Amino acid sequence: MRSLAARLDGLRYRVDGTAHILVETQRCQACSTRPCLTVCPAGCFEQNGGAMTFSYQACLECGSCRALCPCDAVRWDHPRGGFGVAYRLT
Amino acid sequence: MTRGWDAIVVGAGPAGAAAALVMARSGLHVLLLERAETAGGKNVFGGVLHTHALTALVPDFAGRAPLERQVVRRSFAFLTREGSVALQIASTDAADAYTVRRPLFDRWFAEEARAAGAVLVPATVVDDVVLDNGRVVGVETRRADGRALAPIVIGADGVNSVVARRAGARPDFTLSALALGVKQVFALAPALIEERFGVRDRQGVALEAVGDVTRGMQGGGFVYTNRASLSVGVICRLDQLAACGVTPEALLSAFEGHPAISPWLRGAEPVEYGAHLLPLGAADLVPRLAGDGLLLVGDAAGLLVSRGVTHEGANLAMASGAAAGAAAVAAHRNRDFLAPALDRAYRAELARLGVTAHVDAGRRVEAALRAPELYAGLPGLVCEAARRFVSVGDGPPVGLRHALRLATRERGSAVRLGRAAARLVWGWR
Repeated sequence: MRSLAARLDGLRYRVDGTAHILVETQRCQACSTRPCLTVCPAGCFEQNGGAMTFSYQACLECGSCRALCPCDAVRWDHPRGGFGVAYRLT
Repeated sequence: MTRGWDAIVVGAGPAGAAAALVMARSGLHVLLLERAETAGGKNVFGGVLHTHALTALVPDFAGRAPLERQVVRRSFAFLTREGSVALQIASTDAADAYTVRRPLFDRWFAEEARAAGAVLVPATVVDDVVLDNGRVVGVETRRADGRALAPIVIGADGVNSVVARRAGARPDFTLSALALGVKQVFALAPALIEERFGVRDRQGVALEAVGDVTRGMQGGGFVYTNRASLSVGVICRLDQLAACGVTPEALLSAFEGHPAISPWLRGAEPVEYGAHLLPLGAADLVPRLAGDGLLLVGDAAGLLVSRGVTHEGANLAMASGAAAGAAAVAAHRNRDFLAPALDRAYRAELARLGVTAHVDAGRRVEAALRAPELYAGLPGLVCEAARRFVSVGDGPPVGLRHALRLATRERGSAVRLGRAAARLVWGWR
């Protein structure tokens, strides 16, 4: 069994200074299901206590959170050109 | 970039590069935009490319494209927690299917479009389309010299297509019409791959499995052999994944550790993880593929077809890109860029290039493939019945009907599972 952190370790990113996805986490307070917590393949969504936190750095830009957020809390966008995940050529 | 172009293609994946290639060859002045640093840098798929559409575009691709291995053996397995039953199809005939690694392949294919005369601009995100009286006349990029104008824009920007959404060309895909794929690439020496999988140099295999791999949700797992690596992944319907509360990474871990899968991966070193969202199924296929000054191709158009045993995406992306490119060339010839003419020309090309027939074949099994029995009950029934049927001991050999009965816990469930399987077989007819 491998951990997600170990998997993400092998990836190359060019991380932008500003987030390409914004999550209006106050909307998450009313969310009972929070599917983003488990579905995000990079584990970008976490909850500490009752509060949701989102970190964009490990995002794989799949769009799952945009599609499934039941509270319309995800302001989804692509990273700036050339930034974000870069799958390897070697 | 602000000067006028004959056409703008958003996204330099297989669909966009094919469109740009066709248009550039016809002499159009084409701008091909890509958000990754190099074409393919954002792209993930399972790993098998059916090359019929590529053959039509680049007949001598086999000697030039970065292909990994030619698929000479395929297997389809039902998995339970511990066991499996597999059907294997081997052929000495050269199959028109190759494993490829998208960052390498897509970069090469986009380069073909560039060599034909298209202007490839990477590291450029498109944020919006430029509209003039509801007609698409260009795109806004996130660059300083942001705007580019053309009488036709081809949206080849994937499942999350900004072009499709901003142009209002289609509603978003629904949750049940999306699937999430996660994949781990493992490095393994070519000689070990060839010995382990029983193939020769540059030959490869495609192993696919359904059942326990997705814990009964619609989807499956795969192992594909690249030249010096294995692609191992799990695909699962997004609405079911969200409801079940298991992480896709946990499904992948369990699949990698399954007794039928782990021996293939022994000693292989994990090198790269990836994820990708897939438009699932032809039923949601956009009713509108064209707008005024706009065509949608590939994943952006929802052109992904699975018949359960075949999965088509990149090939249909290329074919649809080529079809859209031809439609754009015709539009320039006739000076008509409005939706009716574009739609008519595009659909005619899609039919001519065989895309329509593939989509129709997918449509015939789409509902049947959604039956939960195929993923939850049937794999267990088949594995258990087969195990009992082939086991030999002191007692009388177990007949097939008895084995099926023993494998079926609840009365009537065999009938239900049989019906689900029969519906799929009927769709495949």
